[in-house]
Amino acid sequence: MWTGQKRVFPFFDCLKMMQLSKIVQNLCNLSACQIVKTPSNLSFRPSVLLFCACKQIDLQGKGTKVKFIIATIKPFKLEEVREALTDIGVRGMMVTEIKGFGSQSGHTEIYRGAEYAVNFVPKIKLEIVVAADMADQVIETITKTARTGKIGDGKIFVLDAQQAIRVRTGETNGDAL
Amino acid sequence: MKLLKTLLPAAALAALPVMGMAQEAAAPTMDEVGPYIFTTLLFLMAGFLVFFMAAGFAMLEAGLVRSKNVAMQLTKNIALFSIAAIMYWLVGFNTMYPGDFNGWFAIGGPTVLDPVGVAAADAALDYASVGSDFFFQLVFVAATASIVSGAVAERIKLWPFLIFVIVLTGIMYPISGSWQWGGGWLSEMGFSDFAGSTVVHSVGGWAALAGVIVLGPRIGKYKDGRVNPFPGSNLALATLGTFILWLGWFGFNGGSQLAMGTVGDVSDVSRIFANTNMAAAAGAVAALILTQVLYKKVDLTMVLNGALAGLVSITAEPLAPTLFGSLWIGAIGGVIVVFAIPFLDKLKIDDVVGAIPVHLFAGIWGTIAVIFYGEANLMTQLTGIVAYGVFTFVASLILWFILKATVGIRVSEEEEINGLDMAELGMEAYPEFSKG
Repeated sequence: MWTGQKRVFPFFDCLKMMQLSKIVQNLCNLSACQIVKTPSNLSFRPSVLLFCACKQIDLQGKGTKVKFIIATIKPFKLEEVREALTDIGVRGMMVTEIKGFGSQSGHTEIYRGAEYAVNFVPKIKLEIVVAADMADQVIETITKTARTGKIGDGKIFVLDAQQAIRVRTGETNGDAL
Repeated sequence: MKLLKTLLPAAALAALPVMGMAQEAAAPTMDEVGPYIFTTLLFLMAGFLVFFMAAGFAMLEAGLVRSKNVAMQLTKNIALFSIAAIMYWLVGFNTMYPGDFNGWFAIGGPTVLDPVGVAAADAALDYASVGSDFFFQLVFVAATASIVSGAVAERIKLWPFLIFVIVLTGIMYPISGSWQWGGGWLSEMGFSDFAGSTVVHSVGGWAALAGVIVLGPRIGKYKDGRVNPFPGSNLALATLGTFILWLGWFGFNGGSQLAMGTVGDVSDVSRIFANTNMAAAAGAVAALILTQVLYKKVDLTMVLNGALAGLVSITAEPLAPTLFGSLWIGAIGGVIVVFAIPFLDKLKIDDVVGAIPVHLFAGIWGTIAVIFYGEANLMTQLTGIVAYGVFTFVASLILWFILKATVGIRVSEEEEINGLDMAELGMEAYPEFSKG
C-alpha cells in the first residue's frame, strides 16, 4: 500500500527541506522522495515541491481479528484450565511461571523461627491468542475453572492483537492460530 | 574416652618381655592378640563411619546455604578435612596424646606409625594399632573444623578460613583435647566426656561463635529490627547430610569405647549404638512437635537440627543411660535447638546452619547430663565446660581478630551479594540455572 504526500515549500526553505526529505526517507521504509523545483510564478515567488511516497507496512493482515488474552491463575489450576480451554477449541497457549502480588500483597511464613513476608506469590501466566469472537468464551472458561473463591485466584487482561502470523506459512490472524 | 592413652605405652613395655618369650615358644594365642585385633577393627570401622561425617557436614551445609554459595561451601568442606588430616599428623596427634606431660600443654611432633607387618611382640596388645588409633582420632578433629565452616558460611573468605582451620586442628583442638583425653588436668580432676560433647562439639561451637561475632551477620539478615530468613538451597541435601551424620555418629560414640576385646566391651559398644540412635530420634521428635506447636507448621530444618542436637547431647555419656534416659536427654537437646535458633537471631548472631545451638548449646547440655547416669559431679562438669569455653573462645577470638586485621576475613559487599561461588571460585554449583 503506497501513500503519497505533497507539499509546497517556499524556495528559501529548500535546503531545510532537503534535510527533511532525508529524515522522511529514514523514517519511512522504502520511501522515495522527489524534490521538484516549480517554475517561478508570476508573483516571483520561487518554490519547490516535495513529493514523498512511502510504503506503509500492512499491520492489519487478512482474516478474522484476534484477541490477546493474559490470565494469571493459581499454579495448581493450570492443568484444569488447559483441559477446559482445549475442550472449547483453544489450540495453543503460552505458559510462564511467574511471581507477583495483587491487592492481598503476599503473605507471611516462618523459617527457623523467624517470620518473613512472601511479597511475591507464585502464579502461572497464560497468554492466549484467539479469534475475537471466541474471546468471551475463553474468558468465561478461565474464570469458571480457575476460581476457588479464595483470595489470589488471579486476573485476566484482554488486548486487541494487531496481527497474528504463522511463521511457517505466513498465514495471518484467524488462519494463523 | 575412658582409657587413657598415656598409660598404654607403659603397659605395653611391661608386657614386652613376656610376649617375646611366648613368641619363641609358640605363636601368640587368640586370647593374647584377640583384643588387639578387635579393638583395631573397631577403630577402623568407627573411623570410616566418622570420616563419612565429613560428607554429612558437607551435604547439610550445601543444603542450608543459598545456591550462589554452594560450590564454595563444598570447597571449604573438602579443604578443611584435608588440612585437618595433615595438621593432625604434623603436630595434632602427639600434642593431644603427649604421654607424660604437665597436664596442660605439650607440643608434639609428627605421628609415626607401627612398622610394616609389626610383630605381636612389638604391638600394643592391650590397645590397638597406632595407625587405627591415629586415624580414628583424626576424623574427630575434622568434625570440629566442619562445625565452624557451617556457622561462618556465605560471607567468609576462603583462605583466611583455612588459616583458622590450620591453627584450630593443629594447635587449639589438640591442646584442649589433651586436658581430657590426653590424660591432662581435667581428666585427673574427674571430668567426664565420653565421646566429646565438650572436647569436640563445644570446641567447634565456641570457635564458630567467635568467628560469627567477628565476622558479623550476612548482608540483609537483620534489617530494621526484623530477621530476614535466607532459606536454604536444597533441603533434600540437608536431610541427606543429617542422616549421614546420624550414621557416622555410631562410629563417633561407639568407637569411643576404645576397646572391643571382651564380651563386656562389645556389649557396651552395642549399648552405645542403641542409646545414640534413641537420642537422635528423640531430638528430632521433640523439634517436630515443638515447631508444630510454636509455629503451626513443622520446620524441617529445625527437625534436622533437633536430631543432631539429640546426638550431641548423648555424646558425653552414651554408655551409662538407659534407653529411656537417652530419650529424654536427646529430647531436651532438640528443645534447646528450637529455642536457641531464634534466640541467637535476637542477638544478631548469624549462624547459617545452626551449628552453635546444635554443637555448643546441646554440647553443654550433654556434658551436664552426664551427672544423671554417669559418674561425674556437677561442679567438675561445669569446670570442664568453662575451661574449654574460655580457652577455645578466647583463642579463637584472638585469631579471628588477627586475621581480620591482617588479611581480612570477609568478602566485599558486592562479592557477597553476587555469591562466593562466582566471586571466589569463578564456578557455580548449579550453572544450568543461569545459562541457557
